[in-house]
Amino acid sequence: MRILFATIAILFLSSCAGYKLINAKSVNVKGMNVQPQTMWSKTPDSLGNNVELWTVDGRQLNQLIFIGALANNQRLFTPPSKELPMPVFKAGMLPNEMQDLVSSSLKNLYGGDVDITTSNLRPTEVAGQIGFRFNLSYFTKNGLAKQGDVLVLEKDKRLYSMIFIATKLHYFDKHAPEFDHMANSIII
Amino acid sequence: MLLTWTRTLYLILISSLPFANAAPLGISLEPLLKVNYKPSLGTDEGGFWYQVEKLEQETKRSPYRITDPAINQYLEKLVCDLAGEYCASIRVYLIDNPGFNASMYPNGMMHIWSGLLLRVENEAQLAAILGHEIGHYLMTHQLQRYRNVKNTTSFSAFLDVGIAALTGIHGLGTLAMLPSVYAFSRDQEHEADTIGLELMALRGYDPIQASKVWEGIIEEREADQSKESPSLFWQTHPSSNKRADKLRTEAQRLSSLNEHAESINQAEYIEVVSQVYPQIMANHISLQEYEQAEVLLHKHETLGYSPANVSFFLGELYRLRGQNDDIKLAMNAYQRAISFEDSPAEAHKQLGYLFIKENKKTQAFVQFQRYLEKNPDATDKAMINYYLTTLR
Repeated sequence: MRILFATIAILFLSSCAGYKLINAKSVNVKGMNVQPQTMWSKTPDSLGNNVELWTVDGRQLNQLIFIGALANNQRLFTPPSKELPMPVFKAGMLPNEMQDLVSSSLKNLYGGDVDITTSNLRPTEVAGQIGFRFNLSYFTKNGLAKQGDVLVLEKDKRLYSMIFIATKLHYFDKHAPEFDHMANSIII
Repeated sequence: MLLTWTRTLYLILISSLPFANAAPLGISLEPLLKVNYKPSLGTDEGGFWYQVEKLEQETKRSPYRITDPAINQYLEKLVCDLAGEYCASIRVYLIDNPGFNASMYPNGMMHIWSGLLLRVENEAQLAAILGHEIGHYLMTHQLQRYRNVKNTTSFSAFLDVGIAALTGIHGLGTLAMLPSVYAFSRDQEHEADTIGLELMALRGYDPIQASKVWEGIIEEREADQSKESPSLFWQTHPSSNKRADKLRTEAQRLSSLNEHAESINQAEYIEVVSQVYPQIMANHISLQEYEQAEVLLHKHETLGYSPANVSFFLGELYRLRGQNDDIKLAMNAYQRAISFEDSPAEAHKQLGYLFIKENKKTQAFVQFQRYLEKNPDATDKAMINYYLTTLR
């Protein structure tokens, strides 16, 4: 009986393996120093060499994607398949191009058949320079509404981005102010 | 009046031919299901329908469904005209997906993808494809495939039909999960072809358009190196040159029987699809299949779609492709777009951005200004105003 319980306990714990709790007020992520205000968990997903993914309530409900120090001609994410090509970053991209880069990359990351709408592209002063923020929205294949808030900037010919995506219902509003704070206080 | 007479004459003619044993629908093959047919729930067919009916409920609510009233009414009327007395059994749903697909489900639900509307050149060609799908429905081909597959290991995967069917991941082209298993047989394809052609011709459409659209599609498929090659439509509708030849021969025969079956209705088709053209073409561009998009857009220009829109989307594709001389090509395309009254405001903006890349600040300024004049509530006006300030 004890062996049975022990086995179940181990199996249960192993399902959480790979998630790392971020329990710090100031954290360096992929070359960006950020100040989270709640306890996020870093997921074990490997979306790309320059990518780290955090969540609080699970990836389907909210996710915070960090992309750091992406060099010229690199892709944000590793293509999930040959059928889903990823666009590349080019140093010197204009804000509209960076917006397209992020939204096309996300579209293909999510399987290629979600229709991502972007809006509210605007300049912002962060990390001692001009960066860009924009919103995005889409429906998953199952019709679940998602919303996003994105920060993107180029520094020393490298791309940096923070992408917050959550369900429109409840979970986006839950962390949107915190994302805003993190985006505004980012240090590179 | 003339149309009614020619239709009657044609029906008399066709029923006098040796192969014709005209069913009420007017076609040479007897449909295998009655009008308003519903299977009893306890049967395997009933179970199949139940699954599909759940999918239909999801389809109705899906955010990927295009609900524009004009185009929906147009499609419903066309399907209704083709399906004759089976009209009430068939419901059409237009899905916002830039892939080429049309599917018929055993309970009478039909999905048409927006990508199909972009490929098809006129109403006759659309009628050919829809008639073909109606043929699969009338001959219960889906149920036959379902029964064939039921005893294989693919069965459990087959039942997992969900909303993903709308976006192309799971079963399409009538619920095909694993294409090689679910492809229609050659005989079934031939039956559907025959019925499609006859339905077209009976309604006065030029049946040659059927072979034209299939040939064009086969050509596109053979040329296509991109991810759409294994498209779901192809996986369930295997094509071959032999089939295209057969189709052409039959079409020619039907056409020669009735010289009044000549309508293609291109202008009306283009006008209706134009209502949703910006939305569905933007969706196609986002596929990043630039070679295909370029061919498609040049064709659209000749078909009569708004040259402002066509030029704008050519600009978009060159800009996004971004190879070699593409920036120059994009700028030319946007310049052309803005020369028309009905140019999308976006054309000014994208041109403005390209001028910035070329360090032509004054010209960029002018275009950004025009953009905000045309679209004062632009969601990115903060960005554009920033440029207007810094470019002064």
